[in-house]
Amino acid sequence: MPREAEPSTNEQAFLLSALRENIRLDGRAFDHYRPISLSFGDEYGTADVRIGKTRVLAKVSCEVTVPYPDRKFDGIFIISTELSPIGSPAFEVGRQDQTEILLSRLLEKTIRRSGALDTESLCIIAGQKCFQLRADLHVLDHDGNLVDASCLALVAALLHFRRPDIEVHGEDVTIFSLQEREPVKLSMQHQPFCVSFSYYDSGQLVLQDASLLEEHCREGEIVISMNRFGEICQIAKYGGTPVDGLSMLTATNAALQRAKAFDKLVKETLADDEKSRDMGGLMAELSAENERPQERPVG
Amino acid sequence: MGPELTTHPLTRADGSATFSNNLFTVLAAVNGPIEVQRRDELPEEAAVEVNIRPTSGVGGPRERWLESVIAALLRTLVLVKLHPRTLVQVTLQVTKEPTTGVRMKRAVKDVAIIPALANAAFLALVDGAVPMGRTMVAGLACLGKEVDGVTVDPTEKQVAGCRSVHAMAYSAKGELLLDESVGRFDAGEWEDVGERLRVAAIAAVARDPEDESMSNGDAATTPWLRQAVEEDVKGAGAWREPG
Repeated sequence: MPREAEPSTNEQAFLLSALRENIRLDGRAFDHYRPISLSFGDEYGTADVRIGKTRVLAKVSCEVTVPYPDRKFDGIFIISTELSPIGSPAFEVGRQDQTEILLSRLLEKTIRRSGALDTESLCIIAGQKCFQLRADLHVLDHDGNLVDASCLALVAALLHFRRPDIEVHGEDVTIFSLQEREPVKLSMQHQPFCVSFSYYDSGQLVLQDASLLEEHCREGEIVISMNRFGEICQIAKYGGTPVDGLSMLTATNAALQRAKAFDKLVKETLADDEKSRDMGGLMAELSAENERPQERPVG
Repeated sequence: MGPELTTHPLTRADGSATFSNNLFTVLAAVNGPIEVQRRDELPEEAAVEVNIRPTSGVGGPRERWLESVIAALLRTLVLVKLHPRTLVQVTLQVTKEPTTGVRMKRAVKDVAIIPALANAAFLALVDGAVPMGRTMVAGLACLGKEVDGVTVDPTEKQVAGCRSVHAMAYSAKGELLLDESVGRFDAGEWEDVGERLRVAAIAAVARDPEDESMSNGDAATTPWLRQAVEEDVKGAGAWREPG
């Protein structure tokens, strides 16, 4: 099936007239999300995010390769978003469609170009060896709002991931396996999250976390990527009806609240996960890192 | 301990299931019968398409080979003649692989994943209510380095230290549907492995588990597939129950 079945005219009209009476079909308020659940796998670097019926699985893995010759001091970081018919029969195998291109481009801008991951820390020997970090996003169920779910899964998986510990003596590199040495966390500089807004009635009605049906009926969308400090990484508006500046401002304010909530969710779940792994308080003993007293950043 | 199965974990796909044994966890989704592309269309039967997606990275020749093996197996199960000019699309997502700590040969790993893929696909087809002609159970066994060591449903360490692995699929009546073996073994050993896996397969769908376990003294003889399918069907038919 090359494309998603479009909702019927009746369905669309019903949804829109309900929205005009301030009612969403699932009974949520306009700025509410469906229930979000985040869980981590047994292995490091797997995160499973569910927003309502939408479900995305992120998997981070790494290997040692040669860095690009023009970027000798940087490691390699790849985000792969290949949609498969698991998520929806409309996704074809081996052919990029619009959804996939937009999704990968948005994640690229949000995570990679905003410098969320410090790629220099992935370098082992300049120009010779570096880590190649690969994040695979598997969309398991597509029921709208793929962008927010994917971004949340990706950030959570990156925070959960541990790369193998290394030791460098001149030109000799030793890479320690998981059994030999406790693996180390990635150095993340900030955690950006995507928040998408859907517009109806030429910008009169604004919804957060649109479901698939609502996405089909919308006139336009804005995706705002922001970290918890309110720093905007990108704003994307691909066509659709024009939106005035003021509503853009209210959207960014709403996005900040949402980004803070996402951040809190990820931190709490990570802390729970770490606690369940830290049986008998061994983790602190295993870590090769020294504890450095650090001042809290402002904000 | 038998394998772990869940049915219908996903909402969008027509049928879905997860299967995890000692080595792998596979999530399977089935869509079908759906519209088929012109180039894949068969005039008298449904086309069966299998896509395998690894945990990380894009699929390569290894996945293409596995896809051809699984697709050939599924074609013998699904009643393809019932739905001509349609497509049954099976997507298999590997979600867990053996930990990197245990070194495994490439060829051994390729064969070892087959039973997980086949069982997950079968259960997803059942969940998706795709008409099928037979019941299938796939099993994995390996021969240890020592003389008489046939291990059914081996652990990671056993697979890493074996001299041959065998993936076989049997129907509920004990017909051999698939055989992929790799390593060093002779015909007698192969028959021995086949018999053990056949017994295990029949036990997995046995109506009365008591008889089976009594007759050969095997430990792992819970009818796990029968239980999973029964539960799935019960769940799907719950709306029929009065009150």
